[in-house]
Parts: sequence; C-alpha cells; structure tokens
Amino acid sequence: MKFEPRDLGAAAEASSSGGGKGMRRELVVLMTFLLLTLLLVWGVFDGLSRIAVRAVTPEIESEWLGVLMPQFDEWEPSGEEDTRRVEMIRGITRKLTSHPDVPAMKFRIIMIDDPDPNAFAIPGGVIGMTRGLVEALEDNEIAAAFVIGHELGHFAHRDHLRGLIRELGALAALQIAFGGGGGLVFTVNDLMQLSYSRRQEEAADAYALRLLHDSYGHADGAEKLFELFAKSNSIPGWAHMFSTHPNPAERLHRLRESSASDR
Amino acid sequence: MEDLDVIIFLFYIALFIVGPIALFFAAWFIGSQIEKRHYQSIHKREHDFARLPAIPTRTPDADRQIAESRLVLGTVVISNDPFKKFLARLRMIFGGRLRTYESLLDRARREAVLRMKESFPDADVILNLRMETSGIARTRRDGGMGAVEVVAFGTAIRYETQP
Repeated sequence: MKFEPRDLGAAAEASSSGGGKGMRRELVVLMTFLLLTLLLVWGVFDGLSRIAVRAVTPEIESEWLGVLMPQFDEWEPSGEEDTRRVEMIRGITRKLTSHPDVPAMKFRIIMIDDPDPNAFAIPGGVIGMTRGLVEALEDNEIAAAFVIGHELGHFAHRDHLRGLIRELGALAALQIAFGGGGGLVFTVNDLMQLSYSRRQEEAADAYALRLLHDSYGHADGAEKLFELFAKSNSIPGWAHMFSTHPNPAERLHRLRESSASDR
Repeated sequence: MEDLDVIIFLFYIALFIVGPIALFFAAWFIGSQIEKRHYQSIHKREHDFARLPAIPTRTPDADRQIAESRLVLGTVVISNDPFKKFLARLRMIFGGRLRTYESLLDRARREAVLRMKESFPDADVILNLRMETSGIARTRRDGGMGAVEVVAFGTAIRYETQP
C-alpha cells in the first residue's frame, strides 16, 4: 500500500463554514429575523388588546383584575387637617365619578403611608394616593380633582387591560429573544408597575381636564400640581424622552393653553 | 445637584448600554482575529504533516516490518466566546447551522489531530484514529461561557526502513 500525500484544499474546510467568514451577514440576517418576529408578536398582542377593550366590559374587567389587590401600608389620617383633606378627596371622587363619561365601576380611594407624592390607579376601581401627595396638595381642590381625574382617565381608557395584555406580549417577546427559564411568571407587583405610554398619560391628562371643566366649570388651580412636580423633579429636562409621564413643564404649558382656549 | 444627576444618568447608560455593546464588538473582533490566526497555523501545519496519514484503519501493512508502535494522543481545550454564543443563541430561535460553533469544533478537531501527529513526527502512519469530545467549564446550568475538549488518539507505527 502506497500513501500519496495530497492537499485536500477546499474539501478540508467543508465542515468549518470557512472559519469566521460571513459572520456579519449571519448577524444581520438573524437580527432582522428576530426584529420581524418581535414586531409580529407585538402586533398580535396590540391587536388582542384592542379586541379585548371592545369585548370586555368595565364591570368584567374590574371583576377579573380586582382580585389582584396588592398589599399596602394603609394610612389612617390622624390630625384634624389631614382628616379634612382626605374627606375633601373622597368628596371630589364622588363628584367626579357621577359624570356620565366615567365608567360605572365601584371606585374606592385608599391612602398609602408613603412620603413621596404619588397617585395610581389599581385595577378594579381602586385609586391609591400617598400621604405625601395629600400633604403637598394642601387644600387645593382643583389640583386634587385633577389627580383623581387623571387616574379615572386610566380607568375610562381601559389602560389596565391594555397594559396587562401588552405586558404579556412583552414577556412573550422576551421569552423568544432570550429563551429558556422562568416561564410566564406574573406577580401582582408587576401589574402595579405597568407603565403606560406617554400617549396614554396625555390622554389621561386631557380626560382629567374635561372632567374638571364639566364638573367645576374651570381648571384654574390645577397648575399648582405641576408647579409642585416641576419643583421636586430631579430628572434633567432632556432625560424626559425616556420617561413615560410628560414633562411637568409641558403639562403645565398644555394646561394653560387649554384654559386659555376656554375664555 | 443637577450636574450630579446627569453624571449618574450617563454612568448608567455607559454601564448598561454602551458597556455590553462595546464588549460584544470587542469579543467579535478579538475572537475573529484569534480564529483567523489559528486557521493560518492549522493550514501550515497540516501542509507540513501531509506525509503522515492518520486513518481509522486498524491493521498495519502485512508486508512491512514494524520498528516501533506507540499510543499517540493529542488533546486541545478550546473556549467559546461571547460573540459566538450570542450568534448561536440567535440561530437557535430559528434553527439551522450553528456556524460559529461549527468552526470552533472544526478548529478543535484539527488542532487535536495535529498535536497528536506532532507528538511522534517520525511515524509513518497513525492507525486506529479515534476522537472524543467533552464539554467542560460550564459554570452554573446555562450561564457559563463553555469550552470543549477534543482528544484525538491512535496507534503510531514506524516501519523498518526498507533495504
């Protein structure tokens, strides 16, 4: 048996894909496919959220999502001043929710023992307000009404339902992109941290303004709220493009425009 | 105070966005350079050792006297890199050839065979060639970068020089 050494040439590279060649193309192709898949998933869930908003009545929504009540340190106002303010807020809520545009849900206000001024809408018709906000609002009824109107706007626009379905969509997309592990785990606290798009926040602002005009005839005094936010705001102005809530200065500007157009 | 916020914000962007992206491109560049050089070395050494066949046949030439026979073994451990891993994970979503891993394993196999040959350069033939591979250095279940060991082994034969 005679062995003749022979150079295999290209045949030797048959299983190596030619080393690192073509990796740029591979990367571009795969990223494009991934992007398209994620867009498709996003589109499907966006469509689902639109269908759900039509198909699910506010009553059913509050029944479904109402079970997801998170735990809070509830605040019992003790002083005479705090009690008066909380009573005022409850009065405003009764007044605003009697408006025909507000969905027929059982709304409830809960006070949370937290020094940071904040308010949020909890699925099932609960509006949470922090002690910090109540103290900051002082006795300004219109500003408080704007806060409640804004949260009622989230209920009226079904932002929870949309947010929940979009959140599921985002989780599905993450599963596709990063695979493995976890599965769809969803806690009540995730639901609390649902962030709404800036468009939804602006829509809630507009809704609040409309409620104020219809219930009080004007919105003078709501600026106080944004002046307050603008002051306590620690994010630099240009960072607001990453934030969901519109810049307080912008909101203030919009508010002034809308009240100017009333006159 | 505002300036400090800006600095913190930029720091976070650098840490969580720019950092990983830079690392990814660095891994791509460095990894592809290493692979390119390794292939250059493989091609050169394969050419140099082309006269020494390594084959899975088990029987030596019957009409030649064996002067020496010996177990030869070449082993290599070669590591994955973040770029290869990233591309492979992307590929796993859709399926198909994991090209980044194909070249990684190809390099490992060829390097192992070359090291085996280099351990006994005077041999005339290496018979009964076998290869084995095992994944190592996977820390935690799925998080580690991973490395692969390839062992090539066989029986090296040196025949008596014919008169």
